[in-house]
Amino acid sequence: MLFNSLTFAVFLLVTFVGYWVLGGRGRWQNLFLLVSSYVFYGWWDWRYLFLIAGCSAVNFTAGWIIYESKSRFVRRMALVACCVVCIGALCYFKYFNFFAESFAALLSFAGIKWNPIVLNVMLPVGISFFTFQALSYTIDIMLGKLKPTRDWVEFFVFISFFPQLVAGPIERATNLLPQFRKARTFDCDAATHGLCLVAYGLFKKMVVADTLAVYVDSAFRMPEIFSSLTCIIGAVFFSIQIYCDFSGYSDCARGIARLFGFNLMVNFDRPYFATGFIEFWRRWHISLSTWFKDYVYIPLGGNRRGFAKLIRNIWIVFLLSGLWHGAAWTFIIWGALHALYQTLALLKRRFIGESNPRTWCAKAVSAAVVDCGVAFAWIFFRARSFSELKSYLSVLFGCKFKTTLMGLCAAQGPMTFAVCWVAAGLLVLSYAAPRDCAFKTRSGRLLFTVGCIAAIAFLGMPSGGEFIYFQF
Amino acid sequence: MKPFLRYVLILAAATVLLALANDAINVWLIRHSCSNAAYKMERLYSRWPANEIPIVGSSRAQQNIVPSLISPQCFNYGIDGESIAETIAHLRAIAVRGEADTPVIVNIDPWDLISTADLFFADYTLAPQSGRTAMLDRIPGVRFYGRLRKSLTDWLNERKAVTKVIDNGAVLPMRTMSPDEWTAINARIESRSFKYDAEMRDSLIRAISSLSPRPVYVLVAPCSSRFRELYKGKEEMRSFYKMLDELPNAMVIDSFDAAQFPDSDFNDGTHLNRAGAEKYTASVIAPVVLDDANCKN
Repeated sequence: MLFNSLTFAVFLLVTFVGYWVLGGRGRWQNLFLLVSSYVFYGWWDWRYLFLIAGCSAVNFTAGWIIYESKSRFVRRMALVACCVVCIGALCYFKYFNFFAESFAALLSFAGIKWNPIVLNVMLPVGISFFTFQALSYTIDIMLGKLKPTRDWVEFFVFISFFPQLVAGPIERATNLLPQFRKARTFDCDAATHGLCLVAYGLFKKMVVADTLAVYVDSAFRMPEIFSSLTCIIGAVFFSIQIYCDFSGYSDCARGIARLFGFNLMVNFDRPYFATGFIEFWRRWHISLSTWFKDYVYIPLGGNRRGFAKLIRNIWIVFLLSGLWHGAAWTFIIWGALHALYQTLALLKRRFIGESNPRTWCAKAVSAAVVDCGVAFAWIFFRARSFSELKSYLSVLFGCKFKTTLMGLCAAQGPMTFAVCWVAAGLLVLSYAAPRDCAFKTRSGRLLFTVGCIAAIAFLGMPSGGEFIYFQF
Repeated sequence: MKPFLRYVLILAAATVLLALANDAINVWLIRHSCSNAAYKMERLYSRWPANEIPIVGSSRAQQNIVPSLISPQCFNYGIDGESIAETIAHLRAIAVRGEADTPVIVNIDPWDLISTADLFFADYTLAPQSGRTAMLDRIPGVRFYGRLRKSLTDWLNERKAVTKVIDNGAVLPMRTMSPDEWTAINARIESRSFKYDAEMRDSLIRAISSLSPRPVYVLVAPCSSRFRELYKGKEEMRSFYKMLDELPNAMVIDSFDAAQFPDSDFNDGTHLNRAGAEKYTASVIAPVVLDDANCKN
């Protein structure tokens, strides 16, 4: 069930009405949400329900064992078992074929021929998100940051909460579980804020992301017939597309959660306004970057064990982040590029000093530099294969600037090209609104929501398809 | 809850109004651009002028045949992505008109029997073989959702010929491909093997028969050299030509292998550019159709 589908609209309406009919009765609301979330998830494939239920059960049990046990060994074993189950499931569904094929390729370099076993399994939707969310609960209990919940319904619905189940944000139990503990009563301001966020999210997805996707897909499909300028524009448009697609989903998720009285974390904070690469990752996919910071980077020592180990930790985190995004070497290279940017930024900070741009001009230039680097890295993220990547980069750096009008439009026509710029312009215009659509008045919120609906009505793409991050 | 419901009602009303505005703009644009598929459908099924010479087919008809070079009464109903099923339905609709004298021109291709359409026909479901038969396609406010840029493109091209010249329903791209582009595109063309659909063949034969006594011209438009290479000698081609031989009361004008159309006449592997389409119509189609008409007179 995609957020931008009629089926989901009907599902949301039914769930909303049923939920608020139970208003004030927390446990019943949780149970209702749990059933709804499982219906939502089972809509893709009912077999996935065993996976998510199993993951929830393992983490719930492990949480209690870790909390109650006095033995350090038992606590560690429980955590290890939990990690093995969650990461194991992830590896099985997502990485098995990649590792097998990569190993076979490595052997073939050494002259050994080996036909790898390839699994014919479907990747469960949202597995990368809910396994990380479940693990964060168990690890927080181990670290003493959290007491386990006694209520299995509360925990199961925390893991499977449908607005954020398939593409985040990856919530922390310290933020979300307490919200499930108390009974929710209807708040009109929260609900109208929620509707505003949903409209804004759908605007980003259906108007901006899906419009730019037409140009981007064409540019990446046959870059050799286009010019370097088309490839540059394609990379820029993809940067905007992936931002709007992902942050649009997050806005919808947060908006829907607000309709039910929940506050999910902000996942994007205008990342292309960042004036440094380090700052970029404090604004982009915040839930994932903080997850890696808290559960990988800090346990490895963070920045407390010398500069060399700091760089090592950065590389481990970003390579893992690349791998998290997809089972392909192009994603790992994307992660490596970001690790390189971070390394250069840290080296600059260490040897030249921190530079905080003060004037708007300096900020704009710094942001432009960061955005160029990020856009270049996105090429590796978007390319479906090494051959596609090679074609694209060879045209991009080929300095082939002579082009026809059709070439400039990536063979999609001047109208599509013009609409792409209009969509990007509308996105920039939307930044005039308060951050997070936090309008002070209801009428302001209403006007903005109507504006988003107008853009969707006139410029929306109905057949845009899945959100990009569903594939993770 | 009441303030929230009031808020939702205002949003719902705004949504409906905006959707209807989008619908109205689309209808106006479509009615004023003869190259638009929805315009063609409405004209074909409800508003056809008397004594019209219709040209029916997919984008291969739409882009390869220039109506004004045949006759002022000629109109090109070719629709991008149209499948043979839709073509058959259109031929039946034309047969029902009951006109006797004016010819019908239809383009058919060897790979038609497996093509799938991605068509949009607002208000016309073409039951039983239609691109989209969903109920939503009939609801004002919903039926033209996502279509505004296409409608605007068609309307603009009709007036300004930005990238395409419109000629009585024909859409003639003005661009020609560079040698580099040709090389890249040719490298990606792969042959498809297609299952020959006997039922569809019989249906086509019946549809063409139903046009009798109107003269029918069945065209097979030219293809680029790469396409000709890929399909040469295939079993499916033999079956296709056998079918063409069986067509009753139809004159077949087969230009699939015509060597007089070099690659420079093409916009891509299967569609002529403007110059190529004019050459094809003037040198191959018009002489036959007009000559036939003269003989009858």
